[in-house]
Amino acid sequence: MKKAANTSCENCVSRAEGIFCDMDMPELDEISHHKINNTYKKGQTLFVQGNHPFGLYCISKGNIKLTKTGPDGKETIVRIAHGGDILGHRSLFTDDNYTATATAMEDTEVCFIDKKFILKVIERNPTVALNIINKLSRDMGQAEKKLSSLHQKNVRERLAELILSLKATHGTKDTSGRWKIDLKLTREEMATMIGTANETLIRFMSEFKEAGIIEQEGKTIFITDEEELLNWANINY
Amino acid sequence: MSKINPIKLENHVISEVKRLSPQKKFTSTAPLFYEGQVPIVAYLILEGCVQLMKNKKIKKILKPGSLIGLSEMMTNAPSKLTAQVQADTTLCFLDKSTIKEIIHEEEESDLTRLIKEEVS
Repeated sequence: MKKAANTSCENCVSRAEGIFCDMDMPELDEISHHKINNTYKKGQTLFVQGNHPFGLYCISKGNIKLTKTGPDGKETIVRIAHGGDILGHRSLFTDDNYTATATAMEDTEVCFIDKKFILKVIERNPTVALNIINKLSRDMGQAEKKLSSLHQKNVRERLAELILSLKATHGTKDTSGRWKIDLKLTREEMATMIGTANETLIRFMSEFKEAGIIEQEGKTIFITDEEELLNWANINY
Repeated sequence: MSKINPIKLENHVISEVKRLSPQKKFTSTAPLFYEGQVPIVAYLILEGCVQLMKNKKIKKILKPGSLIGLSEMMTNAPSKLTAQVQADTTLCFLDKSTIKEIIHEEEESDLTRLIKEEVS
């Protein structure tokens, strides 16, 4: 049988942003030998809402969307995870089933570490636990921000805020100085992220483009006037 | 890549696995692993069925008592097939740490002998 090439944690492209960033050899080597490294193609699911959790997923490269399906069958994107992020960490401590479905948005490299092993690693390396707490706190902060935004802001402000938050997590500056958000989200997906209808989102995207705040090439969004976008989002950074 | 050869377990070995690992019922169809991937755990079918597929075509339907993904997980060998669990199927899961524990702590058991045969 042909063996898969197991990328070592030491050479992981997202090591600096990951939970094992403070660890050195030989502990890192032990994780590299134990973990299972897989590539998920665009549209493949890592886990499904309601299913039993087995351990922790560490994203090495690529983007993964976490969606919740409501009783009416509608899907809502609750978070987009990228390189250095972890998935399934809440289930490590609660033993609850997955509360969302994780789907690769592009070809994505993900490492899996089973629950028993990661708990042993945490016992021996408290910094890993602190890094997980840090990730949990950030997630909680984002969730609170999203909740208050849905209650207190209008659709224009929410859309501006979404574009800014996508810029912060997935944006890169291009040669002309614009911020490029190359996530390839559909209109439907963006609409669910700010809790509005598809038609409303399209209307406001046109308004943003007409005002010269953003540009769009296919599904790629470019921020051309960040200052104005901040004003429209009604937030002070 | 590995063809995924399911192992048919005898009843007393199934009881051993049930004692050592959690059991969960799937209420809807879900992928267990895709073609080209290493299974993250080994799966034992207790009730219902799992389909093995290639290019969206069903190649095999696995019934209760079949254990899949063990040697692929332990030897880091990607699967040639996609495995999909069907609704109302109950599975038992054996992760890498549990397998290592079984090998170390239950040296004389039939399950350990089976694991060693598969992994060697």
